[in-house]
Amino acid sequence: MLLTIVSLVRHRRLDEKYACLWLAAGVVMLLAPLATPVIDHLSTTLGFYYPPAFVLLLAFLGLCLINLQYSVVLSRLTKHNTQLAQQLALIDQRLREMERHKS
Amino acid sequence: MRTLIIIPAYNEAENISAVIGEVRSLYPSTDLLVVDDGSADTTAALAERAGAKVLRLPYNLGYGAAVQTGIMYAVASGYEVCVLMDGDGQMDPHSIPALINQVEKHGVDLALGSRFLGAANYTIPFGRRLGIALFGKLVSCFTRQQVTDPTSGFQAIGRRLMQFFARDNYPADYPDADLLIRLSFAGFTIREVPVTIRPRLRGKSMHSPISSLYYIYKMLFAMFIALTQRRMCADGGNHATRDQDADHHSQPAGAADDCESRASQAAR
Repeated sequence: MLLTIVSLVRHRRLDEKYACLWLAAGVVMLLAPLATPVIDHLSTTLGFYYPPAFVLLLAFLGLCLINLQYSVVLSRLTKHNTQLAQQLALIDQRLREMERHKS
Repeated sequence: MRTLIIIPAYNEAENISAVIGEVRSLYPSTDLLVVDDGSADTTAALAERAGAKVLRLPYNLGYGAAVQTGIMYAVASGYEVCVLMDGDGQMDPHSIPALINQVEKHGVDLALGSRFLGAANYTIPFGRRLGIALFGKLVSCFTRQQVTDPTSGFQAIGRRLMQFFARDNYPADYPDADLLIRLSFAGFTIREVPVTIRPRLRGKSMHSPISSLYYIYKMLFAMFIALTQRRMCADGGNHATRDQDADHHSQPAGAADDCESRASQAAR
């Protein structure tokens, strides 16, 4: 996964900014097997009978966070898109008016 | 006062010529602007042929964004009052002078046409009537003045408020109840005026059960957000714009600044 992210960034198909959370997810996935005793201990302390359920919960929360980031980005892009379309309509009207005056 | 009548229209080819014809016959010296919200039909061409100025949005942005584009044009062109009305022929243009009068003579920022104070010559579906009543009560409670028709799109707006709206303070989809609350918090004056609303000339309304559900969710949530931003609203609603500009560095100037600069260019 980490390699895929690095490759996408290298080919400029993924922005460094948006790669951040994916990189974090990749690092966690890479390190998780090394930390099995810690995860086991943590999940038992938190009351999980089955440690993988705790890992799945963390993964789910991480994905939710990434999705939320997308929604924020999407909202911003929609707003910029609207502003661009509005400016385009205003300039288009002005141009047509000028052409009409010219002719 | 220089007045502009703004008609946002989306796929209104069936009605737009008749609406423009009626408005122009009543107010021949008043400028008329149709904002074509990315219609797939011939709305823009018909509006132009009927003698209106036309702003063509490249694709459908939604009612609020279309209205805001018209307001941006009005601010840039130096209009002092603008009247908003729909392109489906439901709003009786005979009510326009009463709306403008509130802005011109009484210095009201927003004159809001109310079908419940005036005449609604058509049957409003029960669900819609209930929704309007509920939102009316909520808005009345938060603005501390009686508002009977918060969903009304028949309005006259003064220049100060036009500048406020052009400056990014206008929702892209439904600019209704939450907007009235924000305006009240920001210190703008709102007054309801009796107007006459008629049945649509032709065609179907854009409201569907799903859009109605979305509308209810959107209004309630937007009103809640407006209440949490009371102080920001009181400061003229500028914090949001400024914060966003600072965050993203993507918009060098607010829409209003742009409009103002274009207005001065036009004046030159």
